[in-house]
Amino acid sequence: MPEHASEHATEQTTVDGMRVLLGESLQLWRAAATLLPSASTIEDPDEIARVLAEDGLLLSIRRADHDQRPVRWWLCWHAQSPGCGSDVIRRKPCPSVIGVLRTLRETLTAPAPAGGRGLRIARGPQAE
Amino acid sequence: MTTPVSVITGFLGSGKTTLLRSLLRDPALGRTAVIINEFGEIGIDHDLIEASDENFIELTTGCLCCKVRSDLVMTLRDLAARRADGRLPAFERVLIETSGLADPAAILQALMIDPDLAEVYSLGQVVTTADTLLGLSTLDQHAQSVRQVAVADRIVLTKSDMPGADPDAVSARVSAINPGAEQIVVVQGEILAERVLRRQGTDAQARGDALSAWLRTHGGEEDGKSHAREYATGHTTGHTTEHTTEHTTEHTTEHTTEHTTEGEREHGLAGPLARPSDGSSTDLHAHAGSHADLHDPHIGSYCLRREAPIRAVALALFLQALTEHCGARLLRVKGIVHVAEAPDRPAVIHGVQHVFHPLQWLDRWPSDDRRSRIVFIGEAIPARWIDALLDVLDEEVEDEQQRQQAQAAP
Repeated sequence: MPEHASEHATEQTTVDGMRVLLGESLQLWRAAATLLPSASTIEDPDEIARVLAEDGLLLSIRRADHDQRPVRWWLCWHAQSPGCGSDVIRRKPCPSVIGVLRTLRETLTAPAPAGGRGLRIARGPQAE
Repeated sequence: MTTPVSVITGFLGSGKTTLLRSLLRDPALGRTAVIINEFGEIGIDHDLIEASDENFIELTTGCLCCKVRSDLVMTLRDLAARRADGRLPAFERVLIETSGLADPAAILQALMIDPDLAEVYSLGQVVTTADTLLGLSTLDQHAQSVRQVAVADRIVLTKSDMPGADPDAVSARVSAINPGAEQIVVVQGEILAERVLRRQGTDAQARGDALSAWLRTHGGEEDGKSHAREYATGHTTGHTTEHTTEHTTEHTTEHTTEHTTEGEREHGLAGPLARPSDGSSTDLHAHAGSHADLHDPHIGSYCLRREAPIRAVALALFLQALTEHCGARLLRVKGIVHVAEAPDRPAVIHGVQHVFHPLQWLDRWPSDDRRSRIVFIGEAIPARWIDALLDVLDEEVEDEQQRQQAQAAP
């Protein structure tokens, strides 16, 4: 398989995985938002998903170009106009999906899980 | 050498005190410090316990999990200090009986986090009592009782000799919540301490072997195909339960309940940590047409498996995101991981909610199965989210490593 074909396959795997992850994240957070079906809204190949909040906020997640590394993702805020058009009014670079999820969750003001806290490492278990 | 601290938990009236009383009659449990947490101003549980000369009882009031920092930590520190200066006998283990309303995960966290306690104590067994008379309705009505079952290493099925008891139904139900926990059916309230509190080994390798067995009950060692994943929750139909009867004393009969997940596999499984069988990305709660979902709509388990080694950075980021977004809904995580940077030494991960032990490295793999297998017990966490998160992170880390290699190349 040519190298570029392999890269393309990997990228497609990541894009597919991101779409699944974003959809499941909305569910996990019990966010008042919907992952829009890609076929009806996405014409730009770098835009992998759109999220529409119940309050009308429209966000998109875009794949960054390779020459933009270490940025891998762009989280974009859209100003929706009547009809189907929308323009990006703000965007945030994310080097990893970790940042995408954190920003998206904060933006959607999804309620934090009860007791939700960051990873903490305890002392190691020791032999009796 | 640390002193093991085992926790006996279970819902109100499920038989914790009876179990504790039985355990303390066993000569094998001499030199035991017992901490009883009584909820309410007038506790009576401690009056029901007969301590021998070698055992002694400390009391805490209020709900232990709610004020765990102050009460439990201080009590354990105090016990260790009094033992060290000779004011107390040299106890060899600690048993904590929680109140029936306690969240045991909070107690486990306290034991894992506190650096002073970790110098002296180590986490022993988490034993949960489940009432075979009223257990089904308790599990239906009280989420805390489900959490108590979910975090257990061993589940003691009590009151099985009472009229109307249904040990098989309760056994199947708790298996659906926590298939990895060993179940012990108690008859006439008698049980040997060795059966309930024996440890899984005193070195890392023995613990790895024990973990391997635990994973097996979660479907983590099925001879599956590449990238196969198992959803070990849900259907009780088809669940196979075997009872082997051991006559340990003249008056003691124990039933060891073993499980297979064959029935679960055959049914394709469902549940709060499962994905839709058609692979679609629909709301998993809307998927609750199964028998098991109706039983336990929130807590379930899921075994993630990976054929390919997982990069260490991806694993660290994965655990970080997992705890950040799942929080207290993540009850327990146990697993054995094939870390790409250390192919010959599997890493054991063990976490309670957002608190994890450092990775333990085994000297060798417990079996020929070198797949990563991680079991998650949690509350309404989509399994597809767990899978996708690790996949995307692993691909990102690979991409970053390739980028750095390309930059470093002349």
